[in-house]
Amino acid sequence: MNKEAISKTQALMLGISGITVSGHLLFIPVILNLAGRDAWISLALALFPALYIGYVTASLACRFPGKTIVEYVQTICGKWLGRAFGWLIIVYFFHDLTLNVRGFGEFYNAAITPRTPILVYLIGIHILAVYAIRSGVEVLARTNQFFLVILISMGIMASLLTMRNKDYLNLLPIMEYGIKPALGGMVSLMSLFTTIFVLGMVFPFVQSTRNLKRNSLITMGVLVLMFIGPLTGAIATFGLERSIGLNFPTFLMLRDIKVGQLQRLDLVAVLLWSLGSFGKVVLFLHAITLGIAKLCGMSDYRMLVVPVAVLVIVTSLYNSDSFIELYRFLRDFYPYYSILIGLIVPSLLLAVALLRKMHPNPEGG
Amino acid sequence: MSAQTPLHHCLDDNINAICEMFGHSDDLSVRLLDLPENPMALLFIGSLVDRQIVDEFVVNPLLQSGLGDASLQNGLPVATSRFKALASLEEAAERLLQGDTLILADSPAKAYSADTPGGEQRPISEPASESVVRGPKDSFTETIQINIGLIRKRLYTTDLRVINLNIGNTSHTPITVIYLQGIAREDIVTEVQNRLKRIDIDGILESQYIEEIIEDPHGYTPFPTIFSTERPDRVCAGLLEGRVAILTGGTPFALIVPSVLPMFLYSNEDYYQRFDVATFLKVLRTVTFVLSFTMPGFYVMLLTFHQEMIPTMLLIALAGQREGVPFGIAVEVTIMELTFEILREAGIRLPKTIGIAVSIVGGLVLGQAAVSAGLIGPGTVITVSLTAICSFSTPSYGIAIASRLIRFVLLFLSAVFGAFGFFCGIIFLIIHINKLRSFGVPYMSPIVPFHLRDWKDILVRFPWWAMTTRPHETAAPSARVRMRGKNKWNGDPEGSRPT
Repeated sequence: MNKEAISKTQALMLGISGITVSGHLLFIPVILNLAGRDAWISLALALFPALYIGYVTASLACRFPGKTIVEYVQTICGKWLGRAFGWLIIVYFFHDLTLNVRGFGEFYNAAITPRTPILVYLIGIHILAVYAIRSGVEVLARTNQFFLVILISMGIMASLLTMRNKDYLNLLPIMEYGIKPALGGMVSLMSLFTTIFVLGMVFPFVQSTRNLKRNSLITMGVLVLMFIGPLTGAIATFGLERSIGLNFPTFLMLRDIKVGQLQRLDLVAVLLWSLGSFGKVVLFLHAITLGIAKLCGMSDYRMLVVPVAVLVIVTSLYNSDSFIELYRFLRDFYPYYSILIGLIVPSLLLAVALLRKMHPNPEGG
Repeated sequence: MSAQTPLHHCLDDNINAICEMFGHSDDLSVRLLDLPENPMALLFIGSLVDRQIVDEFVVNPLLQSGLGDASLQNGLPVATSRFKALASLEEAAERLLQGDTLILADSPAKAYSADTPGGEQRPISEPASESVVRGPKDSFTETIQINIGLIRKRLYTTDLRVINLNIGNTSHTPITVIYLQGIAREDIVTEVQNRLKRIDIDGILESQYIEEIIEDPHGYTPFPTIFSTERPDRVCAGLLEGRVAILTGGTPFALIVPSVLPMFLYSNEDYYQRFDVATFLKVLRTVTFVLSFTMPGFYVMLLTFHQEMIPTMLLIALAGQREGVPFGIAVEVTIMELTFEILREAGIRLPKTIGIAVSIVGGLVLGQAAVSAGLIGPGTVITVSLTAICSFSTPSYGIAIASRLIRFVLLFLSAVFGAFGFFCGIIFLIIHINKLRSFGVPYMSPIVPFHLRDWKDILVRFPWWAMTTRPHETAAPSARVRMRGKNKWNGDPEGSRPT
């Protein structure tokens, strides 16, 4: 293994861009649909599960420094059970990526360039991801670091510029239908945040795991903060009835920006989601290829990138017929399935590791 | 080196042997001194020595001394600063090629070399490629000794290390590695020398040869990862930041390694002007650099796919101009860009007087005529010429060339795929730049990986009293502090204010 090292910040930044962007585009409509006006309560409720999963991922990484998920799973559960869990987790990442990629593709197809086939988008973004991953983790992390700064500053600017359309009185009344809708939204948000477990495939490259848990908690806090804007904003802008029916409420908010003579800033949206979907694809594709390579005992994961990318493209085209189907899946099935693998499995792993008293740097390993 | 042939015992044999080595070249001059007791011969290459020195300090003292056996034992009365006894014919030939004069003596047969450097040299002149309003006006020349002197005369310190190498199997070009002991990172200095020593080439005529051979292995890239400059002050600034300079004989362009992207975007005049002005210019130049490769693509993308973003009045104006233009916007821009590239290429190679004519014909006649003939929209002409001006404002020629190539790729991507293609191109570019390294130092260095302290010199320039640190990646860890930062004059030399 060549010595490639990234900083903690870079690793966590990968997590932020991996989750925020797909969340903003694909999960906001789902959450709005489930929780309605009380989406912000869902977010507040989801803070604690989010912190929890961040903590679990980080403490597993601290417990097994330099090891990826699929490696320490085998240490914790033994060889065969561990491998089964390893494959399960890889398939989960894979499936998650295909869903998201399809979602991004549908977004481009529906909103930006309706006459361009979706395949163009898929291939384009995967070429970039493959190039970045083949250049190594360092390059990938640095590129993402560069983009995330642009992304966040543009996001903040966008939310400031949409302020004039917002009327926060639309958020009233609070809890009109009791706590239940908010809980539904929380579950959906949790399912989004649990994908942060993918960072377990990046943490082995981090230089030192000191303060990793604390930084990871801060990151989850930042993640939650980043969802306040779009979750409240859509309702405040469009009102409850209209915003529930929208496919891409965040995009429509961006579209309404008007600065002097400049209007219809679709371009900003394209920029935001190109950068963001790049972050998402790069993080997950890296995790998948690295995981497969580790499970199969290959020394170089980079040669796997192209085949896996092709597989992602093909699968994403076949696993749902349309955006509506994808959307329904994200609303009705995804939360339970994602929480099972992304939250419960890591918790179990950590619990077993604690019970078996597996400390950092065990002899031999 | 090849086997060493010892000197022959007889003067004539020695002369013959050396002449034989040079194939009786006509520029090898042999002057026999018929001294009564001790016949001697002087050998030199006319074009490499200074005749006056030879006459005054070698021939004259020898003739006047009359030279007997005794004086030969005490050394020759030759008045040059470097004087050396030689053991082999090969060594003698090498000295001859360095511009020395050989003195061959008979009975016992001996050979000496006296340094009589000469030959035509270009005087130090103002730099042609990096001119400044305020700042030193000298530039490197083709002679390496002068160049080393120019650096020595700026850094009067014993820490300045100069290492001479000869590279090129045929050309034996002198290459000099210069660094500041204690400030440069040891591993980089060793790495530079190792890479230089591995070079196996027949001749080196320009530092670009070295640049291409020793740059980091990263596959194809249009970006220069080694900075070249003809300004000694720029080299010294690099040395003070812990970088290593490589001078090449025969060219005024010195190389500085490791170099990072921001170096290519800033002029050294940024450091000789007031810091606020310099900051403004730095930001301006960074923006123009980005514009110089994005603008045509952006223009095409807007007009082809995203007309809705253009304010209505402007869109109407643009559409009105383009009424009757036969080509699509992408074709139009491509034609104009290509035309501009051709014009630029034509202008550079021609004599200055004709060059002006070319720019008049190209700029005025072609541009104006194309618009009035309805072939090209005026908007396109504005875009292309603005791009050109932006690309001229980039201080480093090497990176300006890179942006020329990238411009066409982005143009193609945005013409075919619109905004998505354009941004994909940008993302690809950023990944690519992030992938680059210059002697192990990431090319985007203070930006990503992020070093907050180095941002005093990125986009902004802090006043000199605040530039307290050296770049994180290039300076040795023990030499990160440039100054203590207490030298800002606060109006009170004693340090305590009178009450």
